[in-house]
Amino acid sequence: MAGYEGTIAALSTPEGIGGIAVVRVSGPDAMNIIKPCVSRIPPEPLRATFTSFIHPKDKHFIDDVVVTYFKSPRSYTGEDLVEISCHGGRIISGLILEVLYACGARPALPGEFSRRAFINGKMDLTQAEAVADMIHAETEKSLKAARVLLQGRLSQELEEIRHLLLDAASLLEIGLDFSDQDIETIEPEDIRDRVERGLIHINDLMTSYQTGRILHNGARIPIVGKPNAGKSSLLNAILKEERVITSDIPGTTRDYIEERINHSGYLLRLYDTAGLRDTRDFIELAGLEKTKKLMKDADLMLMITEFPDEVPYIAGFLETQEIPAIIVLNKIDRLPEEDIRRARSYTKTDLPVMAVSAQKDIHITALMDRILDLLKDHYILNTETVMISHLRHQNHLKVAQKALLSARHALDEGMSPEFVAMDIREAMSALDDITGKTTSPDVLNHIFNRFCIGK
Amino acid sequence: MFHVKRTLEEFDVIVVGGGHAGVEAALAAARLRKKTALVTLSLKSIARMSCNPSIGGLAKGHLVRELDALGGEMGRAIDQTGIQFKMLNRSKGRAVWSPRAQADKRRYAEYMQQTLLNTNNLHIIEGEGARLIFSMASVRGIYLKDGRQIFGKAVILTNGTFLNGLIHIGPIQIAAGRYGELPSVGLSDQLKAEGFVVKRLKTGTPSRVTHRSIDFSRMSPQYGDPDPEPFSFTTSAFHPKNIPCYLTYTHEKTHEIMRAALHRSPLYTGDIHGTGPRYCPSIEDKIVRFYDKPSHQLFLEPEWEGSEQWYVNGFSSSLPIDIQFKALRTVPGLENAEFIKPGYAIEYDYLPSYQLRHSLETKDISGLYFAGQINGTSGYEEAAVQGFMAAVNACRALDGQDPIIFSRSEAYIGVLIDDLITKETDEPYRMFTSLAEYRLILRADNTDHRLYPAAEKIGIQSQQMIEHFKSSVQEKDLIKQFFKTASCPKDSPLRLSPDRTERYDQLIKKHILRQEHLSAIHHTLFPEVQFHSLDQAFIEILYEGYIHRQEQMVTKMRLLEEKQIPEHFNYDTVKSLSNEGREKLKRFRPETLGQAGRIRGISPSDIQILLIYLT
Repeated sequence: MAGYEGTIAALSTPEGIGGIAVVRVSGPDAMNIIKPCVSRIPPEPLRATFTSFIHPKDKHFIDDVVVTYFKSPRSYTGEDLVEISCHGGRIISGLILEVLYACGARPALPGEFSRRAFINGKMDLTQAEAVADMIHAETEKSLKAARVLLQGRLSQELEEIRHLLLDAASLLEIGLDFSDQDIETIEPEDIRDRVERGLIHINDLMTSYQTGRILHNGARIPIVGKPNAGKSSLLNAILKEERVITSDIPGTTRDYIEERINHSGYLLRLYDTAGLRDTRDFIELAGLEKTKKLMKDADLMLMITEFPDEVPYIAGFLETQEIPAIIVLNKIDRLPEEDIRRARSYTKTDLPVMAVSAQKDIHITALMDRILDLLKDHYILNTETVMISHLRHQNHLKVAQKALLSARHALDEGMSPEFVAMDIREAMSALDDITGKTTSPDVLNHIFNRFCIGK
Repeated sequence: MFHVKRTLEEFDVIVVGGGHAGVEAALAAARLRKKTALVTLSLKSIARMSCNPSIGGLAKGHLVRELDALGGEMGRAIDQTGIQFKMLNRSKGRAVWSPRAQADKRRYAEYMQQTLLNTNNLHIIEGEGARLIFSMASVRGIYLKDGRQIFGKAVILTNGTFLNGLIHIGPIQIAAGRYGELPSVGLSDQLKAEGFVVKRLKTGTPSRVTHRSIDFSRMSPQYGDPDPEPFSFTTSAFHPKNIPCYLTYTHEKTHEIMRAALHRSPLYTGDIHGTGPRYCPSIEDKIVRFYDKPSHQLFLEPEWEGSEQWYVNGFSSSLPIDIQFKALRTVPGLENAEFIKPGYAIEYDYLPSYQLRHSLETKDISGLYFAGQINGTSGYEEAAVQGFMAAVNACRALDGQDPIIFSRSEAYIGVLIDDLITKETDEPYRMFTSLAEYRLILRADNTDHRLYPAAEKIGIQSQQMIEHFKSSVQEKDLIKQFFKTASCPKDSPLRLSPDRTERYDQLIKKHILRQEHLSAIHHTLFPEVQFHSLDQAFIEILYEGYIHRQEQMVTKMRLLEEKQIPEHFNYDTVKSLSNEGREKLKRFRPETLGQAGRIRGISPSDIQILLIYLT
């Protein structure tokens, strides 16, 4: 168990300036480590105790703190846990942690509190992942999605699918293990229907992966265009209007610049592909490795040009792509009204052309709203429905989907129930892998409850 | 300690109980040249079928075939004495085909008794086992009720339903092991005192009626297969009888009579405490739980050829005698039925099997083995395989050899024993094909191919049969090779692909070359090989994709299956285990991580933690 044992401590409020910081200590020795460091020991669990935090060796005063003891198993991690609320700021919490480490605690690894909560049965795997998401949620929308997941909605949804499959499995096994019994005939349609419904559920969840990923990780939006079309100025114009979350430091090794912004609660990741090899041609540009990768992973593309006559050409190229896109006609402050109208008329409605001036800040807000509308339309960014945001979930769902497709195929081929049953069992076990629970496929139990067995 | 008064000779293996587990255990031990004693209440009751007159059936037929490949007796016995043979699930895939036979109860028991009497090293001792003799944490023998002491190095308990057996018929309760036979009292109390957990189970049996009182013209006859397959690989020239059973139905009137008397059923008065099998419920259970079902099937089965006693399959009941008789007489064909015996429920003691190792030896007392209903199973077949395995492992232990333990991917026997030990059953355990994860590999038709290496290692199966099995596997491999490389010519007399030449394996997978073509292929292409080898090659090619997937699953599971947990591992040192997981692990003391993972209440994270811990 090397690496995961012992008592851990870490700052559990965000680093930086704030009124109060909370340091958590979790593990079998939590109380023993705290005892020499405080002037008053909490008399009982769950009682917030005001005390001084002192250095156990030189009795040097560090801070006035409130200490609360959560006794195992009634704590967040399921272990003995002590919360120390101290004054905010990096320095005091840093001093306290230093003392705790000196007294036998060790720094917690990333996510280790949640990991312990999961291992001690305090939450299932999807809930644990949701906690991790919540901590990493960069905008309120993804926070909301994380909360839905945490409430066990995904687990519920999976349970529904599982139930359909258990039903199907029982109907199959009835025909195998009880074929010598007097039981009403099972129609293959009854089984097919359940497999079909299971597949629909799974497909919905898999589709929600994109939605979940966009909400959680942000929508990836590369700005693609020829040199001097105004890629960087567009990005700068957007950054001026929006709340910037992170900004790339120039000179990093990447060949593009990524900016994360919060637009109406949605996380958008804009990529400036500037610095790419100079080329005269959009298609050739799209063929460049770095751009190709960005475009392949894009959730929405911004194609920027300053020439109205290029619009139909770009539109033609975009029609071969499956990703939503906006053609941005830049530098309209220098273009006659007529040219702009002409450019707009080149394309169909589902491929918007937005006329802006990055330099002069014209129509940038409208462009941003349009980006969001397109994303919402295309990815159904509804935070209230269950969605998955983890690649791990998506992979398990893929396994389940494959197994169910195989089951459906076997049913269509008129294969004997034991083959279909094998596929369904595989699908059920893939779903269990998501929640990390083994729910043994108690098919027989299900059968006994539903059918009159025993001749 | 007890004062040793008169010492009889010392045995290697003592088998207590002469039912289906005891018979196989005694034969296996004696055939392994161990001096063996079979303690039974009476010679005449050996291998008695106390319930239905049949052997095999869904999944149970698989067990019999496996036992036969390993050298057990049950398959041969039923082939010699059966009166109707049928392959169940013939319309389904080959993996779930299961052989079943109607037995001639008398001849079956006589066959077994004769076999026992003719087996060297085997001594039958009539008497009732009363108390085990222990020395330290080992078993040393058994005291009989009449005061005799029998010493032995290993003891296999196969007491069936006799441990504190209690029969219920309506309000009447009779202490009995079977109808008209005394129970065995004391043994389970002693085991309890030794620290074993003892629990109660319940099972039941239907009434028996006379042949002359049945109006068969009102029922439909049910025959076996016209060209039946034997159970045993050793059986040749198989031409058994085909004596029918008869099918009839209960109806509303029958149900009404029983419903009105439910308050007199011990199931509902609370007199019965044990849990009964849900797959074999009593008739009153059926009408209560499925009250909207207007009728239930009943099969009338002869108990032996020309039997005066007929078994009413489907009418197991513990209602008072008058109600059973009155209700049964409403059934078409049974209007004038005369009764020989009423149906009854029986409660008995069993020892939850988490107290055993996979060798069927108890975890706490060395040399003491349990097999059969004492482990909470039901069924002759389930009992037989356990008896055989317990004896094999007892003998191996005496010789200082490792036990033979089948994995879940090797044999139904492995599934059965692993289920017993890792899963808590609160109803009698019965074999089902759905309990086997690797069902497509564990077929009833390939037990010889699957198990010959184990059979050879065990050493009971004749060397001649082992060679026969081996050559069949070789033949199968060659035929598969041929099918995968050779093409069926356009002008083949089989006319399988008249338009173009196509490879045999493709024809099989496209369902063009089918089961019914095999005998023609046999005659034209491989007249010199066993038909069985061709059949196996055919099945393996037909289901290749699925079989391959199952084999991959087996490989995936092997990591955990092979990860041993030290015998006295202290789970308290692994702090991060869930409480439920820790409690279960301490109780079940699994031998491998694979077993641990199958225990209910142990989560995958517990397993991950242990895996990290044990690495």
